[in-house]
Parts: sequence; C-alpha cells; structure tokens
Amino acid sequence: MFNLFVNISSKKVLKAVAISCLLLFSCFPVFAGSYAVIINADNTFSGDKQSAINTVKRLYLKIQSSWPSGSKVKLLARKDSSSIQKAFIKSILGMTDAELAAHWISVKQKTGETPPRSVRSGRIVIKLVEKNSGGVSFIESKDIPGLTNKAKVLFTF
Amino acid sequence: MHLNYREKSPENINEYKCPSLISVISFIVVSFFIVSNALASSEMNYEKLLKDLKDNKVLIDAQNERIEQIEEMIEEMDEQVGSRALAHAFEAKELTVGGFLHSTFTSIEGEDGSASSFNRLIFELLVRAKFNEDWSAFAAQAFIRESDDAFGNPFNASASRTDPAFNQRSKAPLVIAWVNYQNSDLLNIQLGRYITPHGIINIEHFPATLLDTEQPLFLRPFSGNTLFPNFMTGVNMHGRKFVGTNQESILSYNLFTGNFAGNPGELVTGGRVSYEFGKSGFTVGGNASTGDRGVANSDYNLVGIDVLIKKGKFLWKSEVFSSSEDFGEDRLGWYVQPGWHVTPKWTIFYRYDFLDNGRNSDQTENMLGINHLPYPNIRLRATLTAKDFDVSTAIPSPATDATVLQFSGTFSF
Repeated sequence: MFNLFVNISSKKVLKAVAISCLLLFSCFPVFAGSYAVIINADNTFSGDKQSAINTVKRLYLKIQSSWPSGSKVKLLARKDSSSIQKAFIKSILGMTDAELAAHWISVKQKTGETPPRSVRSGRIVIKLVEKNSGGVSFIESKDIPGLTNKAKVLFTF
Repeated sequence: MHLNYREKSPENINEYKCPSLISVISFIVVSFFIVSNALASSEMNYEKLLKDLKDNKVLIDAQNERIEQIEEMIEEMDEQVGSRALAHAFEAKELTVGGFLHSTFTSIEGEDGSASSFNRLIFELLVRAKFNEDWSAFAAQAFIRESDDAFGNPFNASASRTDPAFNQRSKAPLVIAWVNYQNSDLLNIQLGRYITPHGIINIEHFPATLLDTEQPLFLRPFSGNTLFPNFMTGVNMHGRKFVGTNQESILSYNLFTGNFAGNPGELVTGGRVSYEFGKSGFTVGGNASTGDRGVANSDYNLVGIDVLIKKGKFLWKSEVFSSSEDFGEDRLGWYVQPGWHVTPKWTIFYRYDFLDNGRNSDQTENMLGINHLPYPNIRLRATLTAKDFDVSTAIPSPATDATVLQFSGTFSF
C-alpha cells in the first residue's frame, strides 16, 4: 500500500514537474537569446550591450550611416516573414510593423533611401558580413558555429 | 600388443577422450572469442556507419534547404523581372524610383455661398541616384492640377471671403533636386533645391506622412514665402551627432544659404538646431534665418521654435515662427497639433492654427481630422475645419467665417 502510494506520488510529482516546466518555458518568448547580431571581425566597435543595440537600431533605420570608426555600414536584414526578422523588429528596434512602415515611407520620400536589403539564408548573411568591413546582420544562434575568424558576435537577443 | 589393447579398452577410454574434450572446449572458447570479437567489431562498424549516415543525412537536409531557398529566390526574381527589360542607370551605383499620387476633395460653406471641387491632384515622381559611397542625388518632380480655395489665399485680393470659389491652375514644378556629399554623419553638404530646414511639417513636407489635408497657415501657399520660403535653391550643410547615455540622444543641425524662387537677387541665410532626448520621444528645435521679401527695403529676420512629441500612441506637433519685417508689419504664425493613434490604422488629431501675415489680416483655423491607413502606403483623410478671418486692409472684405470639409488620399509607391 505504501509502495503504491509512493509510486503514485512519484508519478504525480513527475507529471506536475513536467507540466510546470512546460508552462514556465512557454512564458518566455520563443526567440529569447536565440539570435545573434554579427559584425565583421575587423570592426573595432566597443561599448556595452545597450550602446550596441542603440547603434544597430540607428544603422538599420538609416539614421546613422557609418560606424563610430568611420567605416561605412553594410547592413543586411532578413526576410520579412522570417521569425528572426520579426524578433529583430520587436526586440532591437522596439517598433510595431506599422511604426516601421511609417518610418520607411517618411525616409523614402525625404531622401529616397530604402530599407536594408533582406537576405534569406543565414549562410549567405555570414559570408557577406565576413566580406564587408562595415558588415552587420543577424543570424540564428544555431548558425554561430558557422562563423569563421572573419566575423564575430556583437550581442545576442 | 596387450598394452595396446588395454590402452584401447573401454576401461581406459577416458584416457583417450580427455584430450579431445579439451580440444573441443578450447575450440569453443577460441571460436567464442573470435565470433564475439567479430560481432563487436561489426557492431562498431555498424555504429560508425549509422553515424556517417546520420551526418550525411544532416548535410543532405542542409543542401536541400539551400536548394529550396535558391529555387524560391529564382522564382521571386523571375516574377519580378520575367521577360521584361532591365533598367540600367548611366553611371549611378544604385537608382531608386518611387513617388505618390495625392488627391483632395474640398467643400466650402461660406456666409453668402458655397463651393465644392476635386480641387487638387498631384502626381510626384521621386528619384534617388547613388553615385558612390559618399555622393548621392535626389529629385522630386511634381505634376499638379490644383484649384486653390480662393479665400484661403491671403495674397489674392480679388477673392470674396463670403462667397468662396476655386482658382484653377496647372503646373509641373521641380520640387526638389539636390546632390549630397556625405563626409560623415556629422558633416553632409547638400547642393541644389532643397526643403528649407525649418520647423517640423515643412521638413516632413510630403503628404504621404502628413495627417492634415492642408499644411499650417504659415506654410501656405505651397512654394510661398509667407514667413519663410518652403524651398530654397542653394547650399545646405547638415549633420547629426549621437550623444548622451549610450548615445541615445541625437543632436542635429542645418546651416543654409540660398535663394527663394521668387527672389533670385537676394540670399536667405539661416540654420536650425534640434535635440532629440533619448527614448523620451521628445524633440525640440530652434530655427533662425534672415533674408529679403523681394521688394525694396524688405529685409526680415525670423526666429522659431518647434516641439515634437512621439510617445506610444500620443503625438504632438507645435511650431511658432515670428518675423521682424522692414517692409510692412511683423508676422507671426503658430499652431498646436495633438494626435492619437487609436489603432495602427486609425489616427485622430486636432489643430489650432493662427497666422498674422503682417497685413492686418489675422486668420485662425480649428481643424478636426481622422486618418485611415488600410495599408502603410495608403493614407486616407477626412478633416473638418472652422476658418475665421479678421478684417483686413489688404483684402477689403468683412470679418467672416467658413466651414471646410475635406477628403484626401495619398497613394505611395
């Protein structure tokens, strides 16, 4: 009887723990810490994470056109429909789709500038960032091992 | 012989069998080791093969994914280009073409009459060419069919304020055409025809981004010079610096000199400094310029302040400009325009607008408006404006009121 009680209790406890874990993880955004902003290895940018986020945001929105070192920026976005692009807009730009669309309409009509070119493949993104000294883009964490010594992670989000 | 017989006798048979059993056991043991080794070895080989297979499967999956991506890219490119001819720029590294179509319907209810008209149609082409990393050019060519509400034009003395009507004119102005050299974010030099860098709405300028159907009173008429010229032809040095904690704030400046189209003989010189306070959404700007109105002894000095607040759903724009005139009375124009983004697709706003154009002709407007954006590049507006005119020495009509209902749409591409 005691054994039966113990067995039932253990099963219940295990089940409860499993459900709790599922609930706990479901509370966090799926993309939390799943993505990384990468830059060319020659980039000498220094600063804390918040400063880096602010800089990347301005570069993406074309409010800023060059790195503090003076090198021209080559920023690559990802496909609009991809989860990484959506996570970038929400976490780094802190904008809604409508706000971002309004921003680009305004920029296009004032200066003719257009949004950054978007690239679908993480592998191609890495290659392009490695090739351009001012290159910056964002990749999924699972692609980080694919970085060579020509590119590095600026921060993760 | 006997011994031999005995050796082979049944009694001694064990003596003969023992060596055979040992051999058998040894054979079995050895065989067991050989077989087990062989089995173990084949198991290891099997695991290695399995691992290789899994690795290859991952590689094949990755390759398949890439092939799918490339196929999708080709499909997209084919859909965009197809069998159509590709456009090439003569020399530019990049060439971007866009524009918008803007249309307005206006209905005016005056004291002695009313008038309605599809009074404005603008088609504007925007072209940007990037020559290299530092040099670029931008031009806006407009094609306009416009009918001003006659009483809204303070320079049209023949207009009757109590019985409104519409003028008629068509024009195709080169609105903007500049070339820009970018040394850094801090230093840009713009040469050509540019928007006078004063205030908020004049800089935003393009209807695709504006909430209102009409620009504030002091910016009318379009391409005019009521308080300052909407556009200039000359040089504009501008830039921005990122300052403060984590470089969240932006300090911007403009220094310009050039000519107003209606006064090619006199230079207008001025500048603007603005400061965006980090993530607060609060921006304040200071403006100053000096020039000539185009008649004898008509120098003027202008100062202005503007405040922009963009915080969540709340939007606030306000500007005040004041000029000191050598010819005629001093001028004053200001407005406040609070707005609220009800949803990403719906915005409501109100504007109180005042203008003293220096001819003893004060005007005020109370405008209530709503914007709908079914798509980000389509903006539909409706505004209701209560206008109030004071008596004027320039326009010999009595003080009067009018109500103006307007609908407009801007379609950008």
